[in-house]
Amino acid sequence: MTFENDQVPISELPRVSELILQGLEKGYLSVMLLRLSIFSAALLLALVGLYIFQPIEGLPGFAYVALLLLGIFYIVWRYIVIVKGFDNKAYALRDKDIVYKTGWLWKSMTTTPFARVQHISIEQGPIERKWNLARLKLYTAGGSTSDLSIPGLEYNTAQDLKEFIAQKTRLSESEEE
Amino acid sequence: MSQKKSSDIDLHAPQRQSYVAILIIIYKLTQATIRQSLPAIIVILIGGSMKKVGVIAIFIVVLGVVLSIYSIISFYKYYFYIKDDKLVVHKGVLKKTVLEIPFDRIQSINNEQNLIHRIFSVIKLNVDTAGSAKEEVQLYAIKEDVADHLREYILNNKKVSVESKEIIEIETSDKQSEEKEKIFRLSVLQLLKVGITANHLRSFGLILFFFFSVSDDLEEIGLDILSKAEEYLPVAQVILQSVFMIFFLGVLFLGVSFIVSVVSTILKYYGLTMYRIGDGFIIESGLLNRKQHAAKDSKIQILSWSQNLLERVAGIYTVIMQQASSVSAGNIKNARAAGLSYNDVSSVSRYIFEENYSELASIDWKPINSYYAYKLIVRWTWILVIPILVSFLDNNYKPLLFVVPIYIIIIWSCILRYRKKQYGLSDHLIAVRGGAFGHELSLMELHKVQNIKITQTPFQRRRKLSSISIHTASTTLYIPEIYTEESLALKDYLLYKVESSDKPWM
Repeated sequence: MTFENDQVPISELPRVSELILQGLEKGYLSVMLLRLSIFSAALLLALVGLYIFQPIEGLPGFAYVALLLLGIFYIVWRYIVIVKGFDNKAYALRDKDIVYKTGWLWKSMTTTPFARVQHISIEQGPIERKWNLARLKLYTAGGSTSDLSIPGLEYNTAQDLKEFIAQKTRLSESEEE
Repeated sequence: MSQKKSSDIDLHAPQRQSYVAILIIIYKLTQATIRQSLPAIIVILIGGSMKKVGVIAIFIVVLGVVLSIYSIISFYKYYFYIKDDKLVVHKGVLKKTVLEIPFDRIQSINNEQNLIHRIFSVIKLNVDTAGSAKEEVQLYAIKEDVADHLREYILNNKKVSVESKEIIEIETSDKQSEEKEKIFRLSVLQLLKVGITANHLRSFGLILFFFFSVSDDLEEIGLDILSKAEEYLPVAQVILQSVFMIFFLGVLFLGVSFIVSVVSTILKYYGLTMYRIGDGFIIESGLLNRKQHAAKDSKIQILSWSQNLLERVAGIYTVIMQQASSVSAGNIKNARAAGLSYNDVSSVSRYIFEENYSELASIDWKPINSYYAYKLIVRWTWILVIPILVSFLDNNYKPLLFVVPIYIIIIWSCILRYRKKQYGLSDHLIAVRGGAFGHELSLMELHKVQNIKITQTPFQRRRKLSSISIHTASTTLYIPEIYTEESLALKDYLLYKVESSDKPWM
């Protein structure tokens, strides 16, 4: 199945798929793993606590064990997804748009043309600050489901990208968050 | 800052709404109270013995007095005025609120007149802002001349781009109707058609839900409909009986839901008229509650028209104009009209897409992969396999009487859904077709694209398939299950069109 169009043959269009993609900073993997570890510790603590105190009357002991095993399984699965999925997270900057790919099993690729960007912001959480990383967010009028968010950028890179895109969209600096 | 004309109205002095507003506030409060306590009321009405009547009457009187007093207080606490390019509203009985709305933030001013309004010749004014719903103002009833004056004043003192001013002017300029061109008006016969072809299944569902939620209460007061009915039927014919019951209840519910949806649709679309004014549309409709919707061409992102099975037989269409409401996306406003003939649809489309509309006729429709049908069928099978298994384990084959016919209909609709799902591209347009027993078509100009997302599940990867979501400032066009190669090419084409176009999306 190929496209046919009289005026612009598809073969001459710039292809998103032939881009050289830029991976995220390695530090972001650590950020994600650290975040997951904090979450896992809290979850495990809660589940072990449940197992020890067995607060719900009438619930047999093996139900708590099953819950704990389910929790462990979920945590292991999250670790696998993060480690396996990290290499699939990548972005590419073009003259007129930006592409972000993500997902290991469930893949997605989002492209936002600069001409439609309404607002740009840089976000940085406390853990990300330790690694000097930031997240670039591009807002369009397409609603929150279609906003583009690229994590794991070095703070300066995020700044540069924001500058570049803002120039393209002729957004004023005052719209910074 | 005094107005030269009609200087007898001073908008800067705090003023209350028309006294009619008291009636409307009482009506709204009563409606809300009844809605909240509906199940209780029904139980009392059905189960209440004569002794209780006195108590109920006293209760209703007390409640009525309390509601009226509350309404009157809230009426006196509610006043509005203009202060330095801001509309100020004071309100609240227990908690006082002051709203200050700068004119520049006002997106649109819409008026509404229901029966009460028309009798007393007052207007309900909705002031929409770009912000959250909290910042929106409703003046329940103000005199027509005050409304006109207020609207004019806000328009004249708004220091914003010409474009948004135009929007307001379109939405409010129905008074000076010289340049208003009527595109379409629903005749009585057509209105009847629209009523009969309405989506009866929806009201059927609502009534069914209502019945089930109330039937427990009915049972409690000794009115078990099902067991009562069983008493009158021969006990031996167990299966026949349940079939009869199902059939009887089904016919009853269908009949009631048919009447409900016909009446509500007729009330909603009574006197439906579509006007063309400047570069936008105005759609007016409603019998008891007359509403006016405005849609400016540039704000319309996607135009959809559809036919359900009944509408197909009657040869009429429902049209939806999906609009971007404001720059900060969020509340999406759709203008909707029913009962249009194909010619009406074409003329509406021609207004919106102008010469590009002719491209639709020669569009090359592309199918999607049959995996779509397979996926839908598998999903429904998972849902239905549980009741089937349970009924086998229970040695109770009665549920199969429903499940099997439903399953057949579902499979049929999945196949139809797959076969009708098609998309097509032209130089300026993208169109997506769909529907199961009915038809749907969504049409969009390519430069309205905001963002494109291609997704792929592990199941799709094996088949080299993916799905594409084309986001606009209103809704999303979704094309499922096309070859990845094809979706990438589609994406490249759309991006090329967006990036090489300098037309604004709004």
